[in-house]
Amino acid sequence: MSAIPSLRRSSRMVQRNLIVYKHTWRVIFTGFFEPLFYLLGIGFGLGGMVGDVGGIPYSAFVAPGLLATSCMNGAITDGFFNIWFKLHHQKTYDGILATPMRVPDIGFGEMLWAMGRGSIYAAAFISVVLLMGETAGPRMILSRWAILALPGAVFACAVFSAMGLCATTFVRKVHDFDIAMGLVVMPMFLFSGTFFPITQFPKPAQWLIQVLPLHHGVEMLRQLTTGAVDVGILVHIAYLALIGAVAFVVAMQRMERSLIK
Amino acid sequence: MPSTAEPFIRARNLTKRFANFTAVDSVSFDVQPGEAFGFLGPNGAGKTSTMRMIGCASPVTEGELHVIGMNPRTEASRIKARLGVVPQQDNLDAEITVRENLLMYARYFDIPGPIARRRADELLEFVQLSERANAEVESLSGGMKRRLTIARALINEPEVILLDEPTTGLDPQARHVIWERLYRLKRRGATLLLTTHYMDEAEQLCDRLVVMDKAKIVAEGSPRQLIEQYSTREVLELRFSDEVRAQLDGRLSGLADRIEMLPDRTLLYTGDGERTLEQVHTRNIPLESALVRRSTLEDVFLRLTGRTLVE
Ligand SMILES: Nc1ncnc2c1ncn2[C@@H]1O[C@H](COP(=O)(O)OP(=O)(O)OP(=O)(O)O)[C@@H](O)[C@H]1O
Ligand SMILES: [Mg+2]
Repeated sequence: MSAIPSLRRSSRMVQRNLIVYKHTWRVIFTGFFEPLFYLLGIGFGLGGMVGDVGGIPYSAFVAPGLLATSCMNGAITDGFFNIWFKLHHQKTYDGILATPMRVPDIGFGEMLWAMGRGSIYAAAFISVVLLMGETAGPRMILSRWAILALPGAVFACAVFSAMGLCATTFVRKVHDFDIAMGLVVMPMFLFSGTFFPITQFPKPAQWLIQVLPLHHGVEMLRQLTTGAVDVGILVHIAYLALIGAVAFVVAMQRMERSLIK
Repeated sequence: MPSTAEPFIRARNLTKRFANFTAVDSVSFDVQPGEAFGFLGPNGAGKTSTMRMIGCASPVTEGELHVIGMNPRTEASRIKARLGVVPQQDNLDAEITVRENLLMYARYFDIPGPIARRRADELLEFVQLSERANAEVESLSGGMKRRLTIARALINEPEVILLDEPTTGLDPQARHVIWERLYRLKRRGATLLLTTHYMDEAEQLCDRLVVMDKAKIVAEGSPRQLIEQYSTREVLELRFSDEVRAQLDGRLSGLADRIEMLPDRTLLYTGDGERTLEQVHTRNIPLESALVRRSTLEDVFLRLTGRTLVE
């Protein structure tokens, strides 16, 4: 079986999902508001009490963390729940596979969709953060490097959606989602350096955290929005790219096996 | 284009195994262009497994398969571009409307927008769903979903249409609507492959069919040939009370070519049912009811496998 997706065919999945969202467009706003609420509640609420973190205002520290988190959440909603239902309950993909479309076209198409959707959220979030910083303060975008935060976020969306796709293929029962959310996503969300620097943890715990993809997403985006860019960013990017590529290949193999019996 | 002598679909010793279980065991058949070809068999016979291999949805384990002159292993996308597939279980896109299902499906085949819209409207007309064009798929009845699935399978103007139990689970009226549409497709020259456990469906629609049982083909021919070869012209169906039935031994012998004792009735295979019924009367065997009918594929199946088709 050919494993290389075709961009033309993959874009069909994006078209399909656009049609679906024509009917349920309100849902699309949740992905936008969630990081914003966190920013208002934690960035400003908590930030007022915390003061500076590593020489920058707390809200400026948290904002890129929330940007990375919103990429992850978008990928989880789409790439995890929705795809699982299409895979196992609605049999949508079986129908699509009776056409010239192939499994990698579907998988890559779903990833493109998650990327597109994530980019819109990221652009909106960055704009709001910039605007709030300029008008009400404190400023949260501290450097011109932040221009790269948008492509950075799109890249993170791609990586997380590949991971979501891959995780989905391991889910057998709806119940498995609870386990994944509670034991994987939640700790990743809390401990990846989103809300506080990971140096708060003892060394062995820090090593463990450095395995988590979200941590690298957060650090990558934080370097860009704060301007504290160093060569370490290449390590974050390389690690995310590796995880994303492996996740996608594994996901495609497993989808192929469960769909083409 | 292949010459007319070349079969559209050609299977030789086609085999499908799931782990150690053999679902299709070395079957061979040819389907000619324009033919309506049936797979008749009970649950688990291997009909769907065979159809899925032809539809490139399931890899061939062993043997040879050619679909429109191409090999599913290497040319799946090109084959699928020319097939229409109606799977056993509807897999319509539940998240979009009836018409959008057709339009989106057209996109998967790279059919340009204006052509897709025209075909979608024609097909909705064809399957009598125009009024429901903007309805949610969920709101359709079983028969409507089936018709939509058929319309969807026709969006790419396929040369071969695979129909896996097109009418199972539908009421008689809905079944007749579908049969009538399939009949029209056949007249337009489409090649139809269909599976069914309904002998009347097979008799109505199929030029030629294979009877499958336990992963193997047990007979092949036109419905008439099969009936002539494996059954008598007529069948006398008798029902007895339990007491009479218990003491029946031997009292029917010599009355028919073959006698089948089913749990609920007794079948006498004979050239002339009315005459045989008279002979039953002269032997003074008390009956609850008697019915003379023509032989059907059901009888062929019973003869070949010792079991009824729909249990
Ligand atoms: N994915 C699978 N894994 C394991 N066994 C399978 C799989 N698909 C089918 N089978 C088995 O293969 C056999 C043939 O199944 P198939 O679906 O081809 O039969 P069928 O003739 O279509 O039956 P039905 O009339 O019930 O649809 C069955 O015993 C079934 O359990
Ligand atoms: Mg079947």
